[in-house]
Amino acid sequence: MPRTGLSSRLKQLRTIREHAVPQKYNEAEAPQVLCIPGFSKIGDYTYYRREHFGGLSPPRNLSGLLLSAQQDPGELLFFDLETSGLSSGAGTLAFLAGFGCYRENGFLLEQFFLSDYPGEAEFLERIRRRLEPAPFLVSYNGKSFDASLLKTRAVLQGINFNFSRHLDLLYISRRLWRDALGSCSLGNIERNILHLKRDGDLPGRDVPERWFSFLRSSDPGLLGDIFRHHRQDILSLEMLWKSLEELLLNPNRRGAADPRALGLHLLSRGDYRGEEFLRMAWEKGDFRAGRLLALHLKRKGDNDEALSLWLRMAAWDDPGVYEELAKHYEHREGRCDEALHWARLGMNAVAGDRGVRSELRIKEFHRRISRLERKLQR
Amino acid sequence: MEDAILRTLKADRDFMEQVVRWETIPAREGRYQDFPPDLDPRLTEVLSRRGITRLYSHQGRTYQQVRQGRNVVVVTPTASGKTLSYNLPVLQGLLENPESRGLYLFPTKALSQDQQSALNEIMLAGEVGIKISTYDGDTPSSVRVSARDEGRIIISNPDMLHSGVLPNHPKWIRFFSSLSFVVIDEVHSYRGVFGSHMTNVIRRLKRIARFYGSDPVFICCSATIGNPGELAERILEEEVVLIDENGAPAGEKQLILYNPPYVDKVQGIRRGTVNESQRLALKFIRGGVKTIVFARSRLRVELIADYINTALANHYLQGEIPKVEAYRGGYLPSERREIERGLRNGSIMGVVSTNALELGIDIGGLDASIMAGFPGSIASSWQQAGRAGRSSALSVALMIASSGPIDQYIMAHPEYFLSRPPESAHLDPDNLYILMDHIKCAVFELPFSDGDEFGGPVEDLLAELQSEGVVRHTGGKWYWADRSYPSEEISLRSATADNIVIVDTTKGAHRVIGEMDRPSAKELIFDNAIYMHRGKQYVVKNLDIENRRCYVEASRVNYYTDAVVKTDIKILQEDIRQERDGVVLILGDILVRSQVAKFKKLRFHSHENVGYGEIHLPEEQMHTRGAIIAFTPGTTTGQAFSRIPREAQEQVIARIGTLMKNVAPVFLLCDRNDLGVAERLKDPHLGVPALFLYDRYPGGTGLADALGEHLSAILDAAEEVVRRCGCQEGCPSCIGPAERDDAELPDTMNRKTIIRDFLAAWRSSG
Repeated sequence: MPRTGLSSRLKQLRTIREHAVPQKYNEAEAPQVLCIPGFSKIGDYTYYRREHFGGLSPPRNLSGLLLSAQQDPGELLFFDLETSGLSSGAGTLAFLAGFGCYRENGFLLEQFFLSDYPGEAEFLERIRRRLEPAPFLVSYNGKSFDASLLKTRAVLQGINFNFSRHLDLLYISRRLWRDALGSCSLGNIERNILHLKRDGDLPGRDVPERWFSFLRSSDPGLLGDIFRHHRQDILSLEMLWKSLEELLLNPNRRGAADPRALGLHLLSRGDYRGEEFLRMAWEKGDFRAGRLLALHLKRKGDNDEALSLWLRMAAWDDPGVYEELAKHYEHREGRCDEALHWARLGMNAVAGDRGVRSELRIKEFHRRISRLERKLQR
Repeated sequence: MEDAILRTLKADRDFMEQVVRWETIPAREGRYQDFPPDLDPRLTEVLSRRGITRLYSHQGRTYQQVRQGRNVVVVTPTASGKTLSYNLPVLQGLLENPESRGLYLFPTKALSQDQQSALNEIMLAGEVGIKISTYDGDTPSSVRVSARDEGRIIISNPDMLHSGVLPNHPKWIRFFSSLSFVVIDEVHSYRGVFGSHMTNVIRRLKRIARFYGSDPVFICCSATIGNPGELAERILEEEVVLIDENGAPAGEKQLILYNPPYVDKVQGIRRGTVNESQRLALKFIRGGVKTIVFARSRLRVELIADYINTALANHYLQGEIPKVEAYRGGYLPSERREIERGLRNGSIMGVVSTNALELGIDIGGLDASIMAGFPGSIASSWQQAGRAGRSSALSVALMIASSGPIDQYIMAHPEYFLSRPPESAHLDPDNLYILMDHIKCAVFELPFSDGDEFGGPVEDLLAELQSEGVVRHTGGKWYWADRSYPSEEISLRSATADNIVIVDTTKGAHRVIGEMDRPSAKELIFDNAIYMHRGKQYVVKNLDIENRRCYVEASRVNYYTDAVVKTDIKILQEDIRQERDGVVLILGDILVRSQVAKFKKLRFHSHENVGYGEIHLPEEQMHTRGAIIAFTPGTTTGQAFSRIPREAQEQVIARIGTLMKNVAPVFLLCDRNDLGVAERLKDPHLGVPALFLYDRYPGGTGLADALGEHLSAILDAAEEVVRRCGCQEGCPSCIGPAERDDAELPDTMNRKTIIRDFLAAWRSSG
């Protein structure tokens, strides 16, 4: 079909769509000179502001369980973006970038703002110059979202981004507080863990639409809410990091944090204080904590204690526990009849399950049972 | 295959009486070429290790054309060495240039998995070290990164390309920068809505490739259809070399068209295809013949397989009960792989399948293919028939007709299978709805500069998107200015994304049992409707259009429901108006408004009307393309129409509309439900009696326009169906039986005769 009739078809399309009232749009030929309160213009479309918070200082001691204990907090760069959408993908861009670092006995907060699409290259270049020299980045969900978004947009503009080491606080926060909070959005963490209250804050999900409204109207008055929201995000990020450091220094004051996740984190960094948290969780009925604890005990060489734990956990009818019991009796005690008993129970427990992992397990039990049967026949 | 079976069939008088045609298609010698002199020795070695020492002529030609940088479409019937046709030039290219890469697109996911196993065979054997990665919805995210960065050949499908790859192209920078080959397999399946989307996905793919500085060659493979070259050019929007001479050898094939005996001649009802196909399949399987049965629905597949297995329960063949499996969509991939393996290694004697096995999944050679009913198109029929027959052995393809009009038309015209090229595939990439959706995706992927094209000029469309607030024009460029990820909401398999989910809430359950597009939902699953699903009956408790949910509960009543749909059509714009075939034919944009206000309750079996119910649903609007046939008094047909007695006119026009819709799929590659039909005794716009045939997808997919082109052939077929039918007053095989709602005609009038005579008059005036 020729494309010629398209315009007229479009008109008809428009008339049958009730909501299609064509909007007026603003079309800037040259970059507009905007007056954004608190910001100074540093490029055709890029604006900048800084704010210093005296008295905000890093913790005296680091736990060594998030970053190395020798890490100089002065090398950390906290960062966060506001974007035109919440999905990744080539069409989502960042229009506001915020950075925070410890400077001059306080905390220096900087914001870079992009006032329209044509300025994206210069805006990204500013961000690159700020990010690349920083030895250590700290973010919330920045690894999978912010950093990959910047990389994507940089490719489109022909800019090459190289990121430094990166601590993303989302992962540990999620492990520690998922059970207590459900959603581990930064907002939820702020309210429930940091006990912060934001008054009259623009919700994060409304930020993209607000920026689009600004683009259409060129009214800088619409931006204040975005800047305030974003500024608080950076401050909260700094606060969250300090609060995590403190929790790991004094895990006994763990608050709402999940003892299993806390115990596991400590053990994974070689801190044996984790054992008591796993035990605490297990005694509260957390079966997975029990399994982790038994595994830890086994690795440590406390075989008797591990065994008594597995025996207590046998009531859960879990193939993994049966497997450990079968292994223990076969290899540690050489009691093939006892091992066979547990292996058969394990086979029963897993028999109906599907999936690659269960299939592997079934094969494993199968091999073990045949081996044990052979040994017993001899 | 044993000649004995064929002799038994030929000796069976009851069987032979129903055979309308028995055609022997002679064996064909293969035509070969030597390996091209420039072929990498590593490939030569791998191939000769697999027993391949020369190429079929079409493989050789494909290689040469691709090497010269030309796009090709290769027509590849079953067992013609399709995979090698495209692998050879691609692998040669990838071996020559260690940077270059290839993309293989398969229309379904199942197919891409199969393809990878076939390719891995070559790769492993040759150890030429070209990494192949599958990238689809099932690819674990841990594997995705390495697939993107290291995969030299990416195997994927259009849906994944559309929603996963293209919108994230900066992650694929290495891939797109060096993309040299794109293979589009089963290109004939990209027709109608799917095809219209596909052209746009290819536009987007080329746009991204250009951005990264690559310009790939396209290799398409098609089954035998009427217009493979044209279709490929529609999809690629570039010149394409057609390679349609097949150099592969083929064994002799027996093609049998079988029309089951009448059960009720007056009503035109014949023995059903389910029973006939299982009965005949048993003959083959008991005789040791590997057989595939194709059935038209999932339910029938299960039924036929079940009947066959029950009948085989005590039948031993060489000491074993032969194994027959059902195969259809909705099975787990592992189950499907197991059946495919069983067919290849011979442990399964028979399989009953939907058209899922019609596509290029490797199941090895079978000896007999039985089609339980015409598969809907001649192209499909040949694909299904082609499932029987290894390159040298004798094979048989048996088609069993149903009582439906198309099946009966085919039985009356066996030459269709032998002389006529199969149906042509149509699409309309500039369908406004589809085009607008893809422009959104394209802007999301890369801004448009003023003057950029997308299959044509797009400035006005971008301006429209700006007025909707999702695009921003500034500094000479158009940018995506919305928080959403547009491809997420756009399905390539339908024109609109808003499907209604059907939820079974029997006894407090909450189980999704199906899906239906919104316009159909209004006509089929309104409140209090009876909904049938896999042989079970449900009553609709609540159709919640706004939230896209329909809640149903199991029920047991003795009636089914049928909505009374009132359709109103408005002609928005006439593009073409011409007098031809004795009528005035108008092609243009139309607005179809349909309203369901009440429904009938009809008793099962007797179809007796046992009551009415009200439906309260907003009217459905659709802007689409229509072919309008106006019986203007000035035309010969218009005059013939005016001579029909008044009381019969409405029925005549309605029945002819349905008939044309039923036979149209013989000429156009579409399903009968893709076409809508409406009639008007006096159209307010035209002022004359008119018949409207329209594309049932918003914006149209090229069907209405193609219908105009084929009007006289469709008319001939319709006339012949009525003339040849043995019934007295109309039956399901022709104009349909008398219905209770029809206006009573005087005893002196016969509905069928009137329609037959009018059609004859129309035809002769063309």
